[in-house]
Amino acid sequence: MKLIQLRMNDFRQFLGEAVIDFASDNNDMVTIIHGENGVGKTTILNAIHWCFYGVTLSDFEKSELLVNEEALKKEINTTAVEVQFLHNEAHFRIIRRYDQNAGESTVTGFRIEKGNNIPVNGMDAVIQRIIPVHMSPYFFFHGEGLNSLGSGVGRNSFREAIRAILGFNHADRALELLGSLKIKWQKAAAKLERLDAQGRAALEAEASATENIVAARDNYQESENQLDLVETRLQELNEEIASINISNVDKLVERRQKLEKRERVIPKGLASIDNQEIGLISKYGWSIYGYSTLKDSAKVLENFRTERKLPSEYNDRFVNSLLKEGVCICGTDLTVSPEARSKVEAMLAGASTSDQEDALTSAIGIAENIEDVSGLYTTRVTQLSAARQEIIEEQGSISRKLEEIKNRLSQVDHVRIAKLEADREDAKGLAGRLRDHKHLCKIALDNASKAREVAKRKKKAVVNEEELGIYQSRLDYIDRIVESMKNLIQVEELSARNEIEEIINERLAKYSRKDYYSEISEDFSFELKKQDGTPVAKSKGERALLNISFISALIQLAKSRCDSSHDYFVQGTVAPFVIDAPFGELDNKYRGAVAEFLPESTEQLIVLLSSSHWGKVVEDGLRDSTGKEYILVSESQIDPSAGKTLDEIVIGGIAHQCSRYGLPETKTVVELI
Amino acid sequence: MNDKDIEATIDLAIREILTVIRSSSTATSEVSGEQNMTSIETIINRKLSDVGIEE
Repeated sequence: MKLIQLRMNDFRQFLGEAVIDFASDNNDMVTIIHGENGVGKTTILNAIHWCFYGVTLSDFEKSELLVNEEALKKEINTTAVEVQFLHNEAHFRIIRRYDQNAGESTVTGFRIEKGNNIPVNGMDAVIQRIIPVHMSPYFFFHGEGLNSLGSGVGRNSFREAIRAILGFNHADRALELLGSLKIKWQKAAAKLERLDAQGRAALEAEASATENIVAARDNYQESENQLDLVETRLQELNEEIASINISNVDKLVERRQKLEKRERVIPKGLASIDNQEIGLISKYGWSIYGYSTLKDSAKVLENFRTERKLPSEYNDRFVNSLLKEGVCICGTDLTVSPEARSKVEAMLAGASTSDQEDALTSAIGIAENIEDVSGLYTTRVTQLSAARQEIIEEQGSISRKLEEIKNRLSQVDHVRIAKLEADREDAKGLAGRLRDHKHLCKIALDNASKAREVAKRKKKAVVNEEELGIYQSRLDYIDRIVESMKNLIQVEELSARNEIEEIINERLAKYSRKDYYSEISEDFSFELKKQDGTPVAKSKGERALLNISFISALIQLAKSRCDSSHDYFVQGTVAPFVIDAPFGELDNKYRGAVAEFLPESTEQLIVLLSSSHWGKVVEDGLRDSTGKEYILVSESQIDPSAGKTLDEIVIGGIAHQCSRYGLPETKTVVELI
Repeated sequence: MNDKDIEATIDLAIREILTVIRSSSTATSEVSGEQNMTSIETIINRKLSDVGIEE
């Protein structure tokens, strides 16, 4: 940034308009503003600061009283300050106005392009991006505050200033965003990990279910094989018994086989009836409860409707027809009896409408429908119950017949038959147990198959190890970027610290009377040391020299970084150095030193000086770089005969008057030398 | 995954991220943090893709 012009209107000591054009050429970049105490040097420094940030510096007294006192007498209650500046080859205008009565300020901004003013929204934010307010103390500087800087006070702000100048704020912002991105990805990964844990459980469940399926299938197969063997054996026994030539035995055996065949399908018939009953209950069971709840209400509603208690004794169509025909049901002529007509008309309010009648019919219809469903359900359940009873009776009949056949066969006195019958009974018992076992194996197989299907669905929904792996890679990568960026910042910070230290020590070597050097610690405090490393108790002048060296070195560092591109952080913040009363505590030699190195350090220097700070050494140091030079002249209404002495300052061997008396207004005037 | 390849992409990623941040905050315009984060996300995913980690 380079300041081009400051324009003040009725601002503190400056009545009306006061304009200062600043030197901004690369070679003639120093603007000197001379002024004695109280005429407005500090006001100029504060005008620039206030215009940019809306606040004055902390030591600017009565900062709420900004309007010139003479202007107030003329009932002018507002003031304005305008600063024009260049930034990155763009020309800006910022104007801040203040209404002292309201205590409010407003700011407007423009970009000047080919003579046109293009409004810039959010000018405050623009300034903050060019020179953040926390940086302003290092560029808009009150020399009398020099001794409060350095060791102890403001260490962190020095560090922050250096970081901002080096452009670390971009890296800080990047680190902040990387941190946010890391959190976002951590959350996404954590979610996937949770899902993945469920997925692993699903995988385990699937594996376990598969094992169970294999085992159940083996058991089922084994049961089936054994059952085949037993049934074959049973068949053989039947055939063998039937082959024995004893009267009716073969027929008995044949009969028994048929009965047993029928006996085996009976459980299936009973299971089928059970299933049908379950289906009926789930589908229509509600109708039993619904009907028992509604039947009385439906009956009452139907009775009310029959008796025309609901929705009304008469409907609107009937009443309207009476009105239309003009005759009441009692025969009264409604056209000649207004009273009778009014009564009939009043009936309309209580008459039922077709909507009400439809609603009632619908409610009764629903209740009747539920009754139908309930009846259907009862009928079907009764039928199933009868069918079950029939099967149970058949089962009993078969059992009795089988028992009878068994008894008849056992009465045959034949050892062989008895043996065969006994074997057959064993085989039959075994076959029954095997069938039960086979049935259980089938249930186990079905359950395991269902469990595996559920596990597969869960696994499909939640397992995404590949995606989780990608998130983990991203998080590792972010960690490495953050680590590398922090290392870079650390290296740059160290390099900057060393560079500043080197600049300060070059100046100390050149200008200090003693063989001292400065050391900047990691926390950015700096102190003066003897060559053997012993800390030195600084004099006021030495401290002031050291502090102003530090600040100017800081600005020189920023300037050097603006001039050259940088791999990572490129240019940082750089601004004009506006310094008020920089030579206060310095002796003549040190004043000459500061006047010599300040122009070398900055891109633009604006120095505000009183005559007590001005002298040959300062003039020699600044002269070659000076492009503009002003005097702030104090004009006063005081009578010249009151004995006031006239202030003078000698510049370039010529005496310039700094105060005038007996004038119509009291104000400060800016005069270009 | 070659560690040297990744190291090289980290260096490039840092430069690109800082360029995004710098260009997002000029005197007269400012890009939102959300947009910057999306840009950084894109840069990282692209760099990981370069070393065969991302799709």
